This record gives sequence, structure tokens and C-alpha cells, in this order.
Amino acid sequence: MYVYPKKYGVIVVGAGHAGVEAALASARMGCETLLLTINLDTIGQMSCNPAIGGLAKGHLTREIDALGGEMGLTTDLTGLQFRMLNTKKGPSVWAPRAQCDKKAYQFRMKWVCERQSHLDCKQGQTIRLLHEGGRVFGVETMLEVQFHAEVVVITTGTFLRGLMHVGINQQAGGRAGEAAVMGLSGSLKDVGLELGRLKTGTPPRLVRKSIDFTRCETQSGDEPVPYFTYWKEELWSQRNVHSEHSNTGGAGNPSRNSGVNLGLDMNPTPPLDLFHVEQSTSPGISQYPPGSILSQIGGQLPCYITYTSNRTRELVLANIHKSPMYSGVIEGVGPRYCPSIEDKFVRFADKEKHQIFLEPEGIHTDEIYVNGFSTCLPFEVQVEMVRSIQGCEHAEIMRPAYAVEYDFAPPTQLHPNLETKVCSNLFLAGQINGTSGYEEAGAQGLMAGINAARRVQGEAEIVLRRDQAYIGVLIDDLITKGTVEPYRMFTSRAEYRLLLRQDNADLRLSDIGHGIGLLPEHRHRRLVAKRFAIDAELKRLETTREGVDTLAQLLRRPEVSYDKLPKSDRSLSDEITQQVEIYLKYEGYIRRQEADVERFKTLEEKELPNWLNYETVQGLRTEARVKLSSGQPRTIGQASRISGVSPADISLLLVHLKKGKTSMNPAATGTQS
Amino acid sequence: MDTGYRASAPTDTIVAIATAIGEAGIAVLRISGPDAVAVGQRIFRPIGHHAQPLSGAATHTVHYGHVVRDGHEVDEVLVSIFRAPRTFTREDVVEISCHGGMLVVRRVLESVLSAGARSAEPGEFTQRAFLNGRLDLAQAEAVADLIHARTDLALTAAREQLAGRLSGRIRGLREDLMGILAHIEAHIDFPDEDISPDTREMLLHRLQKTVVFVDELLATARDGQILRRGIRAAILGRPNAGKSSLLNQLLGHDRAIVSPVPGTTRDTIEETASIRGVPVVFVDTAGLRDSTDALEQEGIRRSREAAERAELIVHVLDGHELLTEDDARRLDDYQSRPRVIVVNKSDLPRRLVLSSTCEAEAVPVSCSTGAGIELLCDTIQKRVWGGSVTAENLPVTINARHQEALHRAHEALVRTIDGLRRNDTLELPAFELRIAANAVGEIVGATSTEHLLDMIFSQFCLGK
Repeated sequence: MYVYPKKYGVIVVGAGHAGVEAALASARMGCETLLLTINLDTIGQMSCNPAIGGLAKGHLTREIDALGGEMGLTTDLTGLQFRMLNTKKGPSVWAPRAQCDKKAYQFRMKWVCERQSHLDCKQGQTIRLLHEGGRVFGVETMLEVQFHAEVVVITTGTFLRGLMHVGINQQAGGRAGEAAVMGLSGSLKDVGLELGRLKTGTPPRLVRKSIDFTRCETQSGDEPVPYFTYWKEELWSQRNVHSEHSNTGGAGNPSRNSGVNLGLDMNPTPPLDLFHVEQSTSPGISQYPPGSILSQIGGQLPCYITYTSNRTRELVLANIHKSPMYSGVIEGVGPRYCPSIEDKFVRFADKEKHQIFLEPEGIHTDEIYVNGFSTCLPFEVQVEMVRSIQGCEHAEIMRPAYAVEYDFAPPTQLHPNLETKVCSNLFLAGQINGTSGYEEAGAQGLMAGINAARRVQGEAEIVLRRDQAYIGVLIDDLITKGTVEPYRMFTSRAEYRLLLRQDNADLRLSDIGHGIGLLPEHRHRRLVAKRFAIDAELKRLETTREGVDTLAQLLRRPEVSYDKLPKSDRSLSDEITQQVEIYLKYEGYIRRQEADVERFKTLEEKELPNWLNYETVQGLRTEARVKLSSGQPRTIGQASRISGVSPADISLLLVHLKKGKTSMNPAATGTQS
Repeated sequence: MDTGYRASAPTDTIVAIATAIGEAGIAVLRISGPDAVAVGQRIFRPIGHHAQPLSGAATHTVHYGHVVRDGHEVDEVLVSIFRAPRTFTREDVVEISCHGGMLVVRRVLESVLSAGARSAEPGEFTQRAFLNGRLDLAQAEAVADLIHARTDLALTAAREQLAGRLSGRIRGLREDLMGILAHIEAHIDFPDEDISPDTREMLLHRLQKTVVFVDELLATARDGQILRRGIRAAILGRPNAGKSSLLNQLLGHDRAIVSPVPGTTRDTIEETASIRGVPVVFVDTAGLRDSTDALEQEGIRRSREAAERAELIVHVLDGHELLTEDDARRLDDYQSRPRVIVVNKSDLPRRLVLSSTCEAEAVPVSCSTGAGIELLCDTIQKRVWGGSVTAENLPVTINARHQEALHRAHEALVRTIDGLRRNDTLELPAFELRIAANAVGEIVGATSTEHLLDMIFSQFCLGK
């Protein structure tokens, strides 16, 4: 046994989408961080569809970006097709989505991690947590090497006791071609965590030359490209994917401006000018970010839409008994929003055909992802099924579809900062918490990394509220309600949807990112300038008249857009005019949601004291008593969202608390546990 | 078995009269708490060959005997034993069915109190049932109404609510709203999917149906209030016109002191009678007559006050006498108020002469023979409802909290419809519709996102 001599502040186990964000956040906040992964070649690997964003997931990605995470920038530089979804609906439910070059994405992430100061990336399989007295202090790898740290973040995705299924064939592994992690589950149980079992699946990959795309509908990307990042200038000002890079992240606090080539850093631009653009695109600025996938291919790649046929249906129904899902072999629960093709034909028997998307996985590969066709039927059935899809009559499968079962730790075992309740300084993030999707993982990873660093620094935890961010909704849902299927974000999960828009994540969150030392100074300056420009224009519109109406009044009319507004300021960037327009047009709704936020705030933030013993609360139903005792909600708001806790239970709690102030508080000076 | 609540359950034993006070027939006293059976045993003397002490009686059994106090029989009763937890309050419960009538009931109650129970606070049984996890919020409220219900019709409405009709209907409404919301959310959250949620026209159609339904629910609110609270009716008339006799006729038992000497009723007497299912609180007043007797003057002052406060005036005239000046003045004074003119003593020769308008309103009765009382009841019912109301076409009654929540839902639904008509982008009607669903959810339990997602996933084949 060897103890590695460098003591870390934070160790992140696993380098997927959660791990990468966690490690980068912690390091960027100045903590000595170790990113430990089984395989350095698969950092930030996109195990399923190489796409980022979509409804609610796009929101999460932009929030990660606004706080200082990496997912948005990497997507922008490695995307091969970008679309803004839902533009026929209102701005709160617009959603950016990008199809990425799978390899480029992962290599860029690896490279960003490698160059990040305060971050060491090492290959090694963690087999054991090191803990003592309910507190973690490091990990041990297969090679019997111990790494010690104050905080450990576990982001092992689907690898814990991963078991892959194709027909009756089973193989241990977290992802096709990669080994599962068998030992760590035991170690997690050993610290007192309960584990459950979930299932997810992925469709087959086909080779491009075997598909007849003329029989499919083409789906093109949007121009101008709807990028994810709020720091778009950096896509051009930095050299992001070639070899002589600058330090992308800045070097921790306090001198975060040490980056060599960060143009914005070196150039203290007067605030407003950043958002006043020339009418025509400035010469010399290429259409796409230098080094990006789009600049390499000079445009966007299309995706294709096609359909299953009657033959597909017949094949599925004739072979359904061979599916481990239906024969009962798979015990894990799969996601309803991502059903296998078997599920689709069985559960919606009257639907004759199902839509399938054919999506490229990269520009240096001809693998095509068959979106909507996940299955765990035997390979021989898959071959026939694929060939029953319109346009795929002669398709060759490169990689078969499979389902994977894995251990997860029901997330009700976590505090809002993503630390486990049973073991202090141990944080969990990503798919291990029962979520699905890169964006959900990245969002948790970011918050776990932030809170790990805050713990090391002795600072208070950062918990985003439900009215602040989808990230807040995500984590609050997980820790209060838990999940019985892989959890995916939907906009309908956000009660303050009109406030949590993809267009204003920076306005909502960048102050926080900056305040904790994660978001670099130059980005924050940009935010301040943006806010200033929005306010100035709003003020101008409120005070400038056209006839009897102010410009603001005119812009509030449904039929008037900023472009059509008389006396509009043509020099303002779209980013500003969009905010101004949304603010004025939806002011009434925004105000009402803000009023709701205020109304629920008192209840939402009413803390449940440590001394509260649910056994002594008169009248609580047994179910509520058990759920509250095990859930340990921090606030009345959290308590009210626990399933099995009724409004009546909450009333009883409130009554009890009122009484408790006088008589039932054995430790008025109660210590924080 | 659910035992979690026991540790924190209330420890004392309470009693209350469970049936409406003042009704004839049978009255029921309910005792609940850990000592309910012991308390019952202390006052109960069983009759019959198989008589056994209550303490050994099995649960859900009925026993015949007497309530005894200080060695004296108070009343002949049936005693029912219900042992926890399968009871209304989930505590031990003893119910004593005794004869109706104020005096008897009061004496039985006093016996129970002296045997160690304490008088229940209003709604305390319901509170215990609620605290012990026996009832949900809407049911608990229905029970409160049941407790306050004063007549059979109100009892029926309240019982039906208890049986879950209100909950059922409002739950149905909530399901409808969530179903519509699921369609809108499917449009919003799954734009790339090959699904076809309802179009705006279809959504509008469905929403309009829910608005009509909310309207119907709200329309029952006023009726529900009348049923719960009853209306106040002042009985006016000069001394000895037969006001107290009329009241006794309406109540079906002797309550007021009836005497041929004018001015016997010096105080106002309040009694509740069930008039065609409507609880009517009759306020019997001292005769309207100028008097120098100080006591009587006070009585007269009170009766005027009662008349001012009443929602219905029952003006009793003596058909055997000529119209007095006082009565003529009262007929004028209250002509614009909802009233019933009763011409009493129809069994005697008629001497009273009324104006044709008053005559048209008049209902002849005889309090000594009971003639005309049925017609009077019909007339009162018509005045109250402006039509006939029966339990059959009164599906549910809603209380003030339900009403307020439904009003909010109604407004939000109207805004949802407006938004869809205006072609607002879908997340705005969704926002309004969610307010409506949440408001309805306040009555029958919260609406959850999980529920919504369940609906979306069960209706649409989603997922790539």
C-alpha cells in the first residue's frame, strides 16, 4: 500500500460529464483537485447520443455556462449541428440543442482538464473509500494506492456493478467495451448508503454508406448558430482546440486574470460598447469559431428523420419474449421518456409507426446514431429490425444496441449541497444519483464541485433555489422526492418556468458564479455591462414617446417587435434587444411569478430545526412521520415536496413548531450536526 | 395496522351531542377517548337476560338499557360500542341513542359529564379523526358541516360529501385540468416528437366544459350555506296571536310556554325547525304591544331587533280579531321584506279584514288543529329558495374555503381560455391553467409534477 504524498483538497472519482464539471469547478475555485478515472481516453465521453441540450436540458447547459462550467463552451466548439427548438412558442421554452462530434467533445474536455491549474488528472480504478468516524478522507485504487483528500466526490455514472444486456446475453460493464466497477458499491454500502438499481439503454450505430438518406427527411441546423455560451466572444478570442492554447479557466483566486491570450481580460472595454455592434459582420472575423468543428467543415451537418414500418412492429412483437426487459431478466427500472422500441410498440399498440432520427456521431467517423431505436433484443433481431426502417433497408450495424443496469444511490440520502447524510465530506453527483443525461449530470457535478471546494475553504454551501435555476429544481427534486426511474429534466418540472429562461441564465446566476470565485472576472464584467445596457435601453423606451405612447408601451403590443419599433436603437446587439423585448412583453407574467416566489418564500425558507423529533409531532400520519424522519428536510418547503407528506401534515408541523418555541425545544441553543 | 399515531393521540375523553339539537325523535351522544367505555359503563344499566357490563362488550355491538344517575333512571337508551381503531375518531367510541327533546338529552349529557368525560369543543371529534389520520382535509370539513348541519336535508348533503362526493367531483375536475395541461405540456416539452396533442380548438372545447362545471359547483355554494347555517326567521305578531303555538306546531313539540294570558313570552326564544329540509331558526318574540311593564318593554325591544336581523319574517295575525293598528303598521313596515303572513285561528270565524295584496300573501292556519301548517311550510320553503331544493339535485355543498379556491380556479381558467383564443404562446395558458389546477388541488390534495408527467407519458408515446 502506498499513500500518494500530495494531499488534495478534493478528489473526484469518475471523469464523465459530472466528474469533469466537478473537478474543473473545484480547481477553478482554487482547490488542489484530483480527477481520478478508469480510463483517461474516455473523459467526457458521450456514451449515448452525442447531443447536448434540448428542452430543459438546454436550460441546464446554459446555467452551467453562466456559473462558470465548461459544457456550453465545449459544445459550441465541437457541435456539428445547432438548432433552437420551440421557437414557435414563447421565450421561456425555447431551447438550444446541438449535435456534437463525439470524439472532439471528449478530447476538448480532456484537454481543458489537463491544462487547468490546480487539477491533476490520473488514471486509476477506485475500489474503496477511505473513511473514519462518518467522514471520508480519501480513496484507494486497484493498485493499492491511496489518495488522501478532505472531500471526495463520486461521479461513477452507470459503472457501479454495470451489467449490459443484449438479448439473453449479459456482460459486466458500464459501457460497451469498458469494464464495470464492482468494488466501490460495497464501499458505498459500507459507509451506510443504500443502493438501488436502474436501467437505461442505447440504440444501435449504423455505418453511413449503408443508409439511403434520399428516403429520409432532412433536418438542417439553424443559422445564425444558436450557441450555448454567454461568453461567445471567447469562442473567437481564444484558440480553443489547437495546440498552443492559453489557460482556459484562469488560475484560481485571486489573480484569475493570468490567462495569456484572454483578449477580454487584457482589454478593459468600456461597458456599453460590448453590446453595440456594427451593422455588418466585421471583416476578419470568421463565421465560425476558429478551430471549431463548424469551421473545420465550413457549415453544419444535417440530421435525418425517418420512420419504422409495419415490418418493424411485427419483428418486435414476434420477438418480444427475447427481450430481457419483458422476460423479467432486467430488474432495474428504465426511463419512461426514453422507452425502448419494444416499449413503444407494446405500450402504444395502436400507433403504427414511430419516428426515428438518424444523427451523425462526428465528422471523422461515419457512425450514425439511430435516435429513438434503443432496444435490448438479440443482435440477430436488431439486424432485421434496423433493416425494416425506411432508408435503412441495407443498413449495417456497427455497434449493437444494448441495455445497461447499474447501481445508483437514491438521492434522498443527500443534503442539498449533494453531500451524503451518512458520511460527511462525501459528495455524489450525476447518474449515480439516479439521473439520466449529460446535462443533468454536468449540473450536479458543477454544484458538487462548488460545494466540495466551499467545504475545503470553510465557506457556506451554495444551494440554488427552485426560483433561481433549473439546477435548483433538479437538485431539490432529487433530494426531496427521490426518483424511481432515471430522472430527466422537463420544463414542466419548473414551477417558475417563465422566470427560468435559457436567455437569462447569466442574469440569474453569473453573480453567484463570480461571487464564489468560479466565474472569471472578465466574464462578470461582461454581465455587468449587459445588465447596464438592458437597463439603459429599458429606461430609454419608458421615457421616449412616439405620439402619445412611450416606446415601451408600443413594444408591449403583441404585434410590435423591437425591429419594428420606431426609434429603435439599431446599434444594440440582439442579446440586449431580446431581453428588453421579453421583459416588456411578459412583464405582467414575470411580475406575477415573482410575486409567487415572494409569497412562498417565507414558507419555503422556514427552517426545520435540528431538535425536531417527528415522533413527537402530534397527529402526523405514520407515512409522513417515516418519510420526514428519513428525509430530514431542511425547510418547510422541502418537507412539503416529499412524496407522502400532505398539506395537512405540513399544517401540523407548523403548529408543532409554533408550540415548540415555548415548550418543546430541549436545546434552544442547539448545535449544528 | 396503523399504530404510529397512538403515542401522540389525545389522552382525555370527550362527549358531545352528535345529532341536531331540538329535533324530535332520537338524539345521539357520542363519547370518544381512551376512557369512553369506562365512562359509558358508569352510567349504563343493561336490561335483559344476556346483559353484560360494557367493559366486556365486543366492538361494534349495541346494548339496550337505561342511563342511570344517582340511582335514578334518566332515559331508556341504546348504547353502541366501537373500539379503536375502526371508529370515526380512531379512538374508543361509545354512542348513546336516547330520546330526543332538549330536556332528556341535556340530562343524559350531564350524566356522562359527571361520569368523567369532558364536553367537546366544537369540531373536536373531527379534529381527532383528522389528527389520527382518519380523514383527509375535504372530508374533515364535511364532518364539520355535518356537525353543524341542523336538518335532514343538510345532513344528507353533508353525509354525501363525507362519502366523498365532493372529493370525487373535484378530483374529477382536477383530473380534467391535469389532462388538458398534459396536452399543453406535451406540446411544449416534446416539440420534436411525433405526437399529436390536442389542437387549440380541442383544448378550448375541453376547457369550456370545465368552466361550466366550476360554475355549477359554485352555484351550489349559496345553497350549501343555507343548508349549513339555516336562515333566521322572526315570528312577529301581537300578544296572543298564537306565535308560540305556531312555533310549537312547526317544531312538533312544546317548547315555548303557551298560555292564554297575553305576554307570556317575554324573552325571545330561538328554535331550529326543519322546514322542507331547510333549517330555519325561528326567533319567537314577545308580542308587539306597547307596554309599561319594564320586563315586557325589554322583550319588545328585543323582538324588534330580532325582526331587523331576520332573513324572513313570519307575521302572525289573529283571524278571529279585527286588524289592530299595531298590526296594520307592521304590515306596512315589513312589506318589502321577505315575509309570510299567517292568519291564525282558521278554526274560528274569520273577522280579520286585510288589503287585497296582504290577503294574497296570507296563509290561513289553525295552531290548535294543525290545519294549514303544511301549506305554511311550503310557503316558507318557496320564500327561501325561490324554488324547490332537494338533496337529489343538490349534489354537493361547498364551504367558504372551497368556494374561494374554485373562484380562483375559475378566474385562471377564463384567463387560460382568453390566452388560447388570443393565440398566446402556449407556455402562458399553461401558466394560467396550472394556477387553476393548483387551486382545485388545494381542496382535494396537491397536484404534483409527477402526476402531470404520469399523464403525459401514459397518453403519448414519447422518447427518442
